[in-house]
Amino acid sequence: MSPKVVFRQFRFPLPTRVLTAMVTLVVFLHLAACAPAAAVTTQTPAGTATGIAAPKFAPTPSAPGGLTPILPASDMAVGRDQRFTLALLDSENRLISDAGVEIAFYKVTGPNQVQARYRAPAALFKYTGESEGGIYVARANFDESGEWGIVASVRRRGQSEIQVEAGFKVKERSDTPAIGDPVPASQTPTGVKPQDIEVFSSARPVNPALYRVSIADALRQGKPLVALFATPGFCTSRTCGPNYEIFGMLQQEFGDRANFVHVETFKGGKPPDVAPIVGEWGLPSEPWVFIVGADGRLRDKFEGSITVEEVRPRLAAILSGY
Amino acid sequence: MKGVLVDVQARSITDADSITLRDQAGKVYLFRVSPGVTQDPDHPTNASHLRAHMAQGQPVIVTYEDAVAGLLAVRVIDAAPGG
Repeated sequence: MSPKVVFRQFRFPLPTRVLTAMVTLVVFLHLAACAPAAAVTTQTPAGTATGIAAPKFAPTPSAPGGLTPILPASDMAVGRDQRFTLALLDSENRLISDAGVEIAFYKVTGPNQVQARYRAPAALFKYTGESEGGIYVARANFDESGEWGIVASVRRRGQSEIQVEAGFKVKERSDTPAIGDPVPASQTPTGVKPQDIEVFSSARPVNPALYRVSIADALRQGKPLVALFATPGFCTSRTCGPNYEIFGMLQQEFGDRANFVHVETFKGGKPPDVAPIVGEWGLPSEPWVFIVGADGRLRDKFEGSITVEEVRPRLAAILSGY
Repeated sequence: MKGVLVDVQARSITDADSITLRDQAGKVYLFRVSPGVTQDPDHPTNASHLRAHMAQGQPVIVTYEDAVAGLLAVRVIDAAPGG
Protein backbone atom coordinates (compact mmCIF):
# COMPACT_ATOMS: atom_id res chain seq x y z
CA MET A 1 0.00 0.00 0.00
CA SER A 2 1.28 3.40 -0.86
CA PRO A 3 1.89 5.54 2.22
CA LYS A 4 -0.10 8.63 2.82
CA VAL A 5 1.60 11.93 2.20
CA VAL A 6 1.67 14.02 5.32
CA PHE A 7 1.94 17.75 5.32
CA ARG A 8 2.49 18.48 8.94
CA GLN A 9 3.17 21.52 11.00
CA PHE A 10 6.87 21.86 11.54
CA ARG A 11 7.89 21.54 15.18
CA PHE A 12 4.72 22.85 16.73
CA PRO A 13 1.27 23.60 15.51
CA LEU A 14 0.15 27.16 15.15
CA PRO A 15 -3.39 28.33 14.62
CA THR A 16 -4.14 29.95 11.29
CA ARG A 17 -4.61 33.32 12.87
CA VAL A 18 -1.11 33.18 14.29
CA LEU A 19 0.23 32.16 10.94
CA THR A 20 -1.58 35.11 9.45
CA ALA A 21 0.07 37.36 11.95
CA MET A 22 3.40 35.87 11.07
CA VAL A 23 2.78 36.59 7.41
CA THR A 24 2.18 40.14 8.42
CA LEU A 25 5.43 40.10 10.29
CA VAL A 26 7.25 38.88 7.23
CA VAL A 27 5.76 41.69 5.20
CA PHE A 28 6.68 44.08 7.96
CA LEU A 29 10.24 42.85 7.97
CA HIS A 30 10.40 43.39 4.24
CA LEU A 31 9.19 46.92 4.61
CA ALA A 32 11.33 47.69 7.60
CA ALA A 33 14.50 46.05 6.47
CA CYS A 34 16.60 48.62 8.25
CA ALA A 35 14.52 48.78 11.38
CA PRO A 36 16.35 48.63 14.71
CA ALA A 37 16.34 45.43 16.68
CA ALA A 38 13.96 46.78 19.29
CA ALA A 39 10.79 44.85 19.92
CA VAL A 40 8.03 45.64 17.48
CA THR A 41 4.52 44.36 17.90
CA THR A 42 2.31 43.61 14.96
CA GLN A 43 -1.29 42.69 15.25
CA THR A 44 -3.79 41.77 12.61
CA PRO A 45 -7.34 40.54 12.73
CA ALA A 46 -7.78 36.90 12.02
CA GLY A 47 -8.19 36.14 8.38
CA THR A 48 -6.67 39.36 7.16
CA ALA A 49 -6.10 39.12 3.43
CA THR A 50 -2.48 39.85 2.78
CA GLY A 51 -2.29 38.48 -0.71
CA ILE A 52 0.42 36.10 0.42
CA ALA A 53 -0.07 32.43 1.09
CA ALA A 54 0.23 31.62 4.78
CA PRO A 55 3.54 30.03 5.70
CA LYS A 56 3.13 26.35 6.33
CA PHE A 57 5.92 25.93 8.85
CA ALA A 58 6.33 22.63 7.12
CA PRO A 59 8.88 21.10 4.80
CA THR A 60 6.66 20.82 1.78
CA PRO A 61 7.42 20.67 -1.92
CA SER A 62 6.19 24.22 -2.15
CA ALA A 63 8.70 25.60 0.33
CA PRO A 64 10.07 28.92 -0.95
CA GLY A 65 12.88 28.33 -3.39
CA GLY A 66 12.65 24.65 -2.68
CA LEU A 67 14.45 25.19 0.62
CA THR A 68 13.50 23.24 3.71
CA PRO A 69 14.64 24.49 7.13
CA ILE A 70 15.89 22.07 9.75
CA LEU A 71 16.34 23.11 13.37
CA PRO A 72 18.58 20.50 14.99
CA ALA A 73 18.84 21.99 18.49
CA SER A 74 16.87 20.17 21.19
CA ASP A 75 17.59 22.27 24.27
CA MET A 76 16.84 25.91 23.52
CA ALA A 77 16.13 27.86 26.70
CA VAL A 78 15.84 31.34 28.08
CA GLY A 79 19.18 33.07 28.17
CA ARG A 80 21.61 35.18 26.24
CA ASP A 81 24.12 34.05 23.67
CA GLN A 82 22.33 30.80 22.95
CA ARG A 83 23.71 28.74 20.07
CA PHE A 84 20.99 28.53 17.43
CA THR A 85 21.58 26.15 14.54
CA LEU A 86 19.87 26.00 11.18
CA ALA A 87 20.39 23.58 8.31
CA LEU A 88 18.86 24.18 4.91
CA LEU A 89 17.95 21.44 2.47
CA ASP A 90 17.58 22.21 -1.20
CA SER A 91 15.00 20.62 -3.49
CA GLU A 92 17.37 17.70 -4.09
CA ASN A 93 17.64 16.96 -0.35
CA ARG A 94 21.18 18.32 -0.17
CA LEU A 95 22.38 20.66 2.55
CA ILE A 96 23.27 23.99 1.08
CA SER A 97 26.47 25.69 2.13
CA ASP A 98 26.77 28.53 -0.34
CA ALA A 99 24.31 31.04 1.04
CA GLY A 100 24.47 34.12 3.17
CA VAL A 101 21.88 33.85 5.92
CA GLU A 102 20.44 36.36 8.33
CA ILE A 103 17.89 35.28 10.90
CA ALA A 104 15.09 37.40 12.33
CA PHE A 105 13.82 36.05 15.64
CA TYR A 106 10.34 36.73 16.86
CA LYS A 107 8.27 35.71 19.82
CA VAL A 108 4.75 34.40 19.45
CA THR A 109 3.04 36.41 22.16
CA GLY A 110 -0.51 35.26 21.65
CA PRO A 111 -3.24 34.76 19.12
CA ASN A 112 -2.74 37.17 16.22
CA GLN A 113 0.31 38.63 17.87
CA VAL A 114 4.01 38.25 17.41
CA GLN A 115 6.89 40.44 18.42
CA ALA A 116 9.96 40.89 16.28
CA ARG A 117 12.84 40.78 18.70
CA TYR A 118 16.07 41.10 16.81
CA ARG A 119 18.13 39.92 13.90
CA ALA A 120 21.40 38.09 13.85
CA PRO A 121 23.72 37.01 11.06
CA ALA A 122 24.25 33.27 10.82
CA ALA A 123 27.76 32.04 10.20
CA LEU A 124 28.29 29.00 8.03
CA PHE A 125 30.43 26.18 9.35
CA LYS A 126 31.13 23.43 6.87
CA TYR A 127 31.23 19.89 8.09
CA THR A 128 34.44 17.97 7.84
CA GLY A 129 34.94 14.45 6.56
CA GLU A 130 32.57 12.92 4.09
CA SER A 131 29.97 15.65 4.35
CA GLU A 132 29.55 18.29 1.70
CA GLY A 133 27.16 20.43 3.66
CA GLY A 134 27.31 22.77 6.56
CA ILE A 135 25.30 24.31 9.31
CA TYR A 136 24.38 27.92 9.94
CA VAL A 137 24.92 29.16 13.48
CA ALA A 138 23.59 32.32 15.06
CA ARG A 139 23.78 33.48 18.64
CA ALA A 140 20.34 34.13 20.02
CA ASN A 141 18.99 35.93 23.06
CA PHE A 142 15.79 34.42 24.40
CA ASP A 143 14.26 36.56 27.11
CA GLU A 144 11.19 34.43 27.67
CA SER A 145 10.03 30.89 27.19
CA GLY A 146 7.32 29.69 24.85
CA GLU A 147 6.77 29.61 21.14
CA TRP A 148 9.23 31.41 18.92
CA GLY A 149 9.76 31.63 15.22
CA ILE A 150 12.40 32.64 12.75
CA VAL A 151 12.43 34.14 9.33
CA ALA A 152 15.72 33.28 7.67
CA SER A 153 16.70 35.48 4.78
CA VAL A 154 18.74 33.30 2.43
CA ARG A 155 20.88 34.88 -0.27
CA ARG A 156 22.52 32.67 -2.87
CA ARG A 157 24.69 33.90 -5.71
CA GLY A 158 22.67 34.74 -8.76
CA GLN A 159 19.34 34.17 -7.07
CA SER A 160 16.74 36.35 -5.47
CA GLU A 161 16.62 36.44 -1.69
CA ILE A 162 14.44 33.72 -0.23
CA GLN A 163 12.75 33.86 3.14
CA VAL A 164 12.22 30.64 5.03
CA GLU A 165 10.17 30.36 8.21
CA ALA A 166 10.30 27.87 11.03
CA GLY A 167 8.92 27.62 14.53
CA PHE A 168 10.39 26.21 17.72
CA LYS A 169 9.96 26.20 21.45
CA VAL A 170 12.13 27.83 24.08
CA LYS A 171 12.17 26.25 27.52
CA GLU A 172 12.23 28.20 30.76
CA ARG A 173 15.35 26.27 31.74
CA SER A 174 17.55 24.05 29.67
CA ASP A 175 17.87 20.38 30.47
CA THR A 176 21.63 20.70 30.29
CA PRO A 177 23.45 23.10 32.63
CA ALA A 178 22.67 26.71 31.78
CA ILE A 179 25.35 29.22 30.91
CA GLY A 180 26.66 30.55 34.21
CA ASP A 181 25.51 27.59 36.27
CA PRO A 182 27.92 25.32 38.13
CA VAL A 183 28.34 21.99 36.39
CA PRO A 184 28.09 18.59 38.10
CA ALA A 185 31.33 17.31 39.58
CA SER A 186 30.96 13.94 37.92
CA GLN A 187 33.27 11.06 38.53
CA THR A 188 34.39 9.94 35.11
CA PRO A 189 36.82 7.15 34.30
CA THR A 190 40.46 7.94 33.72
CA GLY A 191 43.35 6.04 32.25
CA VAL A 192 46.85 6.29 30.92
CA LYS A 193 47.50 3.28 28.71
CA PRO A 194 45.34 2.86 25.57
CA GLN A 195 44.45 -0.70 26.46
CA ASP A 196 43.11 0.48 29.82
CA ILE A 197 41.16 3.32 28.28
CA GLU A 198 39.63 1.07 25.64
CA VAL A 199 37.80 -0.75 28.41
CA PHE A 200 35.47 2.21 28.92
CA SER A 201 35.92 4.33 25.77
CA SER A 202 34.49 3.44 22.38
CA ALA A 203 36.94 5.63 20.48
CA ARG A 204 39.43 3.90 18.21
CA PRO A 205 42.17 4.78 18.38
CA VAL A 206 41.83 6.38 21.78
CA ASN A 207 43.51 9.67 22.55
CA PRO A 208 45.00 9.25 26.05
CA ALA A 209 45.22 13.03 26.49
CA LEU A 210 41.44 13.05 26.93
CA TYR A 211 41.38 10.71 29.94
CA ARG A 212 44.06 12.10 32.26
CA VAL A 213 41.65 13.52 34.79
CA SER A 214 38.01 13.07 35.69
CA ILE A 215 35.55 15.92 35.51
CA ALA A 216 35.48 16.05 39.30
CA ASP A 217 39.28 16.27 39.48
CA ALA A 218 39.39 18.87 36.75
CA LEU A 219 36.97 21.09 38.64
CA ARG A 220 38.97 20.68 41.84
CA GLN A 221 42.07 21.92 40.03
CA GLY A 222 40.47 25.31 39.48
CA LYS A 223 41.38 25.15 35.83
CA PRO A 224 39.04 25.53 32.84
CA LEU A 225 37.49 22.33 31.59
CA VAL A 226 36.34 21.32 28.13
CA ALA A 227 34.19 18.19 28.10
CA LEU A 228 33.00 16.13 25.15
CA PHE A 229 30.05 13.82 25.69
CA ALA A 230 29.93 11.41 22.78
CA THR A 231 30.00 7.81 21.73
CA PRO A 232 32.43 7.91 18.82
CA GLY A 233 32.61 4.17 18.42
CA PHE A 234 28.91 3.90 17.72
CA CYS A 235 28.34 6.99 15.65
CA THR A 236 31.38 6.83 13.41
CA SER A 237 30.26 9.04 10.58
CA ARG A 238 30.01 12.78 10.40
CA THR A 239 28.99 13.73 13.90
CA CYS A 240 30.53 11.81 16.77
CA GLY A 241 33.64 10.53 15.03
CA PRO A 242 34.74 13.91 13.70
CA ASN A 243 33.78 15.53 16.99
CA TYR A 244 36.25 13.28 18.79
CA GLU A 245 39.00 14.11 16.32
CA ILE A 246 38.22 17.82 16.42
CA PHE A 247 38.17 17.69 20.20
CA GLY A 248 41.64 16.14 20.11
CA MET A 249 42.87 18.91 17.83
CA LEU A 250 41.54 21.53 20.22
CA GLN A 251 43.23 19.72 23.10
CA GLN A 252 46.55 19.90 21.28
CA GLU A 253 46.11 23.64 20.83
CA PHE A 254 44.65 24.58 24.21
CA GLY A 255 45.62 21.67 26.44
CA ASP A 256 48.13 23.74 28.38
CA ARG A 257 45.36 26.05 29.60
CA ALA A 258 42.43 23.68 30.13
CA ASN A 259 41.67 20.08 30.93
CA PHE A 260 40.01 18.17 28.12
CA VAL A 261 37.85 15.20 29.07
CA HIS A 262 35.95 12.78 26.85
CA VAL A 263 32.94 11.09 28.42
CA GLU A 264 30.99 8.17 27.01
CA THR A 265 27.21 8.61 27.04
CA PHE A 266 26.40 4.90 26.89
CA LYS A 267 27.53 2.18 29.23
CA GLY A 268 30.43 0.36 27.68
CA GLY A 269 30.46 2.85 24.85
CA LYS A 270 27.56 1.20 23.07
CA PRO A 271 23.79 1.74 23.13
CA PRO A 272 21.22 1.07 24.37
CA ASP A 273 22.10 1.41 28.08
CA VAL A 274 22.58 5.07 28.95
CA ALA A 275 25.42 5.99 31.31
CA PRO A 276 24.38 7.65 34.60
CA ILE A 277 26.22 10.82 33.68
CA VAL A 278 23.60 11.51 31.00
CA GLY A 279 21.11 12.12 33.79
CA GLU A 280 23.59 14.13 35.87
CA TRP A 281 24.11 16.56 32.99
CA GLY A 282 20.54 16.38 31.67
CA LEU A 283 21.57 15.46 28.15
CA PRO A 284 18.55 15.23 25.83
CA SER A 285 20.81 14.20 22.94
CA GLU A 286 24.42 13.61 22.02
CA PRO A 287 27.10 14.65 21.27
CA TRP A 288 27.71 17.77 23.35
CA VAL A 289 30.75 19.91 24.09
CA PHE A 290 30.79 22.01 27.26
CA ILE A 291 33.29 24.72 28.13
CA VAL A 292 33.59 25.34 31.86
CA GLY A 293 35.45 28.21 33.46
CA ALA A 294 37.99 27.89 36.24
CA ASP A 295 35.20 28.77 38.67
CA GLY A 296 33.34 25.62 37.72
CA ARG A 297 30.56 27.48 35.92
CA LEU A 298 29.47 26.76 32.38
CA ARG A 299 30.67 29.29 29.82
CA ASP A 300 29.52 27.80 26.52
CA LYS A 301 27.98 24.66 25.07
CA PHE A 302 27.62 23.07 21.65
CA GLU A 303 25.07 20.45 20.72
CA GLY A 304 25.72 18.16 17.79
CA SER A 305 28.47 18.57 15.27
CA ILE A 306 31.28 20.97 15.97
CA THR A 307 33.93 22.46 13.76
CA VAL A 308 37.32 23.81 14.72
CA GLU A 309 36.37 27.07 13.03
CA GLU A 310 33.40 27.59 15.31
CA VAL A 311 34.77 26.39 18.65
CA ARG A 312 38.33 27.70 18.45
CA PRO A 313 37.53 31.43 18.73
CA ARG A 314 34.95 30.84 21.45
CA LEU A 315 37.40 28.72 23.41
CA ALA A 316 40.27 31.12 22.86
CA ALA A 317 38.19 34.00 24.19
CA ILE A 318 37.18 32.08 27.29
CA LEU A 319 40.73 30.92 27.95
CA SER A 320 42.33 34.26 27.21
CA GLY A 321 42.66 35.01 30.89
CA TYR A 322 44.43 31.77 31.70
CA MET B 1 11.39 4.47 1.95
CA LYS B 2 14.49 6.55 1.48
CA GLY B 3 14.89 10.21 2.28
CA VAL B 4 16.24 12.84 4.61
CA LEU B 5 14.93 13.53 8.08
CA VAL B 6 13.63 17.02 8.58
CA ASP B 7 12.31 16.64 12.11
CA VAL B 8 12.93 14.34 15.06
CA GLN B 9 10.74 14.50 18.14
CA ALA B 10 12.34 12.67 21.04
CA ARG B 11 11.63 12.22 24.71
CA SER B 12 15.14 11.18 25.67
CA ILE B 13 18.62 10.65 24.35
CA THR B 14 17.56 7.24 23.08
CA ASP B 15 13.83 7.24 22.37
CA ALA B 16 12.28 9.04 19.43
CA ASP B 17 8.53 9.63 19.36
CA SER B 18 8.26 10.63 15.73
CA ILE B 19 10.31 11.41 12.68
CA THR B 20 9.47 13.41 9.58
CA LEU B 21 11.08 12.32 6.35
CA ARG B 22 11.36 14.13 3.02
CA ASP B 23 11.76 11.69 0.16
CA GLN B 24 13.64 12.21 -3.08
CA ALA B 25 10.49 13.47 -4.75
CA GLY B 26 10.02 16.11 -2.11
CA LYS B 27 7.08 14.47 -0.41
CA VAL B 28 6.99 14.61 3.36
CA TYR B 29 5.93 11.76 5.60
CA LEU B 30 5.38 11.59 9.32
CA PHE B 31 6.17 8.36 11.14
CA ARG B 32 5.63 7.35 14.70
CA VAL B 33 8.67 5.43 15.86
CA SER B 34 8.39 1.93 17.21
CA PRO B 35 10.46 1.17 20.34
CA GLY B 36 11.95 -1.61 18.28
CA VAL B 37 13.93 0.92 16.25
CA THR B 38 16.16 1.61 19.24
CA GLN B 39 16.39 -2.05 20.21
CA ASP B 40 17.07 -3.47 16.76
CA PRO B 41 19.90 -5.94 17.50
CA ASP B 42 21.34 -5.59 14.00
CA HIS B 43 21.10 -1.85 13.71
CA PRO B 44 20.02 -0.01 16.87
CA THR B 45 19.14 3.55 15.96
CA ASN B 46 18.55 5.90 18.84
CA ALA B 47 17.08 9.37 18.82
CA SER B 48 20.46 11.09 18.97
CA HIS B 49 21.66 9.16 15.97
CA LEU B 50 18.53 10.17 14.08
CA ARG B 51 19.06 13.77 15.10
CA ALA B 52 22.64 13.60 13.85
CA HIS B 53 21.42 12.30 10.52
CA MET B 54 18.93 15.13 10.36
CA ALA B 55 21.44 17.85 11.15
CA GLN B 56 23.84 16.60 8.53
CA GLY B 57 21.38 15.76 5.80
CA GLN B 58 22.43 12.14 5.75
CA PRO B 59 19.76 9.98 4.11
CA VAL B 60 18.10 7.09 5.87
CA ILE B 61 15.96 4.17 4.81
CA VAL B 62 12.80 3.72 6.84
CA THR B 63 10.98 0.40 6.99
CA TYR B 64 7.43 1.02 8.11
CA GLU B 65 4.00 -0.38 8.70
CA ASP B 66 0.91 1.41 7.43
CA ALA B 67 -1.16 1.14 10.58
CA VAL B 68 -4.59 2.52 11.36
CA ALA B 69 -3.04 5.20 13.55
CA GLY B 70 -0.64 6.24 10.80
CA LEU B 71 2.75 5.22 9.56
CA LEU B 72 4.89 3.36 12.08
CA ALA B 73 8.65 3.17 11.52
CA VAL B 74 9.91 -0.22 12.61
CA ARG B 75 13.47 0.07 11.32
CA VAL B 76 15.66 3.00 10.36
CA ILE B 77 19.05 2.42 8.80
CA ASP B 78 21.72 4.58 7.22
CA ALA B 79 21.58 4.99 3.47
CA ALA B 80 24.64 5.74 1.44
CA PRO B 81 24.72 9.44 0.54
CA GLY B 82 23.49 9.90 -2.95
CA GLY B 83 22.83 6.24 -3.22
